[in-house]
Amino acid sequence: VTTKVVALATTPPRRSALAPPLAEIAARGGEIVLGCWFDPVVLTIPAGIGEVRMIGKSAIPERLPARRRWWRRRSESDIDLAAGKDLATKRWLQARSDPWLADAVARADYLVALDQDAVYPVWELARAHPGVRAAFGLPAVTATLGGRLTLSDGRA
Amino acid sequence: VPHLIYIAIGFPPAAKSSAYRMRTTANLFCEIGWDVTVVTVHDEAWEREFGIDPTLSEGVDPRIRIVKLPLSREDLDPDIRHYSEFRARNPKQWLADLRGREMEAFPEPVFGLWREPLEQGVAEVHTQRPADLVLVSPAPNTGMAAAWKLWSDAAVPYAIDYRDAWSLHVLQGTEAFDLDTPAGQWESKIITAARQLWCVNQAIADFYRTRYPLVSDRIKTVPNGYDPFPTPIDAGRPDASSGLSFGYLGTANFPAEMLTPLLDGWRRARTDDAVLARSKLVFRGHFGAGMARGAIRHVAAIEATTAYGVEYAGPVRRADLGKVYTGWDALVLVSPGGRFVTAGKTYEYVATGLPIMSVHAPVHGACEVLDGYPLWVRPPQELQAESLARSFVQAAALALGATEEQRAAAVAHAARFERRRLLEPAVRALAASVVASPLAEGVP
Repeated sequence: VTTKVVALATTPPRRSALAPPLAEIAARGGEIVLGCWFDPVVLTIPAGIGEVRMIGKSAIPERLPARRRWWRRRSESDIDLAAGKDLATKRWLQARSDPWLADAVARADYLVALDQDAVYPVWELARAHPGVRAAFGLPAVTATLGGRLTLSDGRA
Repeated sequence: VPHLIYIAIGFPPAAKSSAYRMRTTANLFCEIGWDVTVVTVHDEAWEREFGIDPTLSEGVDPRIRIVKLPLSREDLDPDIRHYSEFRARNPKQWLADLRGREMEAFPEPVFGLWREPLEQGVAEVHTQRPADLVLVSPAPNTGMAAAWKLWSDAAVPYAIDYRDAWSLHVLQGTEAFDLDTPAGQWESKIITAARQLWCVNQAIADFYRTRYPLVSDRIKTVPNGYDPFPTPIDAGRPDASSGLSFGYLGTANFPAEMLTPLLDGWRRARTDDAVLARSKLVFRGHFGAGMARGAIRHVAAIEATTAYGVEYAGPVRRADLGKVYTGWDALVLVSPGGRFVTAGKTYEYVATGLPIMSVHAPVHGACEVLDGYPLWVRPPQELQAESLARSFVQAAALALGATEEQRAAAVAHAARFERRRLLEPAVRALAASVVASPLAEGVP
């Protein structure tokens, strides 16, 4: 059974911080995808990350039909209106309305915030998805996979 | 048989530098005929920080009983499902509130809330098997509250092994708090009633003797030291044609700013020296804890200079120390602070017999250990790129030119700093101050 990890980051993570846990998770048969609030071009993607996708307005793919692009842009405008200057809420609403992320989270075993500002969207996603473990930092995932740490899964 | 309760938060398998001193201290008490109960925290707590190193536990005397209390740092809890919405949305404010609650429980941020469970845990151990002595090894300083409580409730004498210092900022060399503050009042009463207070160097001991003159005769200097390497260091003759390996091994407990002149100096040295131009500089050890493992600014600075043969290669298990040192030709000792800081790694460095390049203040506790070491590149007056470039060139010359006699003298210099040799008299004296025992007094 493959362990599926969905990581979220609001700033580019340090390669040295990512590489060792990614290697360990991959060695244990895990798969990791990364949702981010920055342009992934700036990221030197270490081995072990399957897919990197941007979340939010600028993540709307050009290849989408015009009508769906319009719908996504409108949705983003609604988020801007709803969240105002509250960045935490804005990121959560963006995460909630992102179809790629919704699909990934539905299949995930672990949700991981890679930085402090990614904690709130992970917290909300975890609340909406009982059964998924939610961690701050990848070392917690490797420690859990290695049986050295216990992460709750939201089921009583 | 006398019974020691040893409050040693950081005992193996915690992958912390404190583990070595704690392990030897507990083993020595065991060897002189004491029953030893170590009180520490559960392994999950260390998973939140630097992790655990099971190889550290291999050298723990099996007669030692270890009680692991289920205490962890709440601020490092990686389980987001444990967070309140307030914490998830307002991490800074949540942390400030937590620090406030900690300080209310005991005047020490981060660990204050451990006071009550530590007091209860130690009292429970005493109930099961009455103690003759409590030895507490701060930090955390909150552990001293548990020793104090048992002294107050059951008159069990206690001693303190300050691996650091509480009322002294060892890095700045300034007083951390006044005597009339809550922390000052706690420290004052705890030290005044302590059987002994151990300090890791003379400068810290002098500070405490001045601060608490009435108990100055009970304040002892018990330096750190090194443990023999699990596998011997087999330093072959370096090969100039393939370049040298410079290494740093330790926790990144120095400010990232110290790396700027060091790395600039390295780059400069590589342009000045043909051998250094094909050499590498490797950093090993814990660089960041918990979710920040490998993510601190130090690593960013190192990664920005990878084109110059610089790399960070992660922590090292105790069992692999010998192998790592064997792969290096010279060591770089980066240490903050001044005369109050000795740095545990200094002892380990001298035990390798390799050339050591000092990157710290000219007046520094490490100098007491390094003075007389034949393969020492002294620290420059100022930590600037130019002077550190010269240090690298000197260290390279030492690595390539050291005679067999110099290498043998370097190893011989280290012998006096073997940890057991430094700790054993202190352990025997403390034991003898509590229980008159032929073994404790050193009679075979």
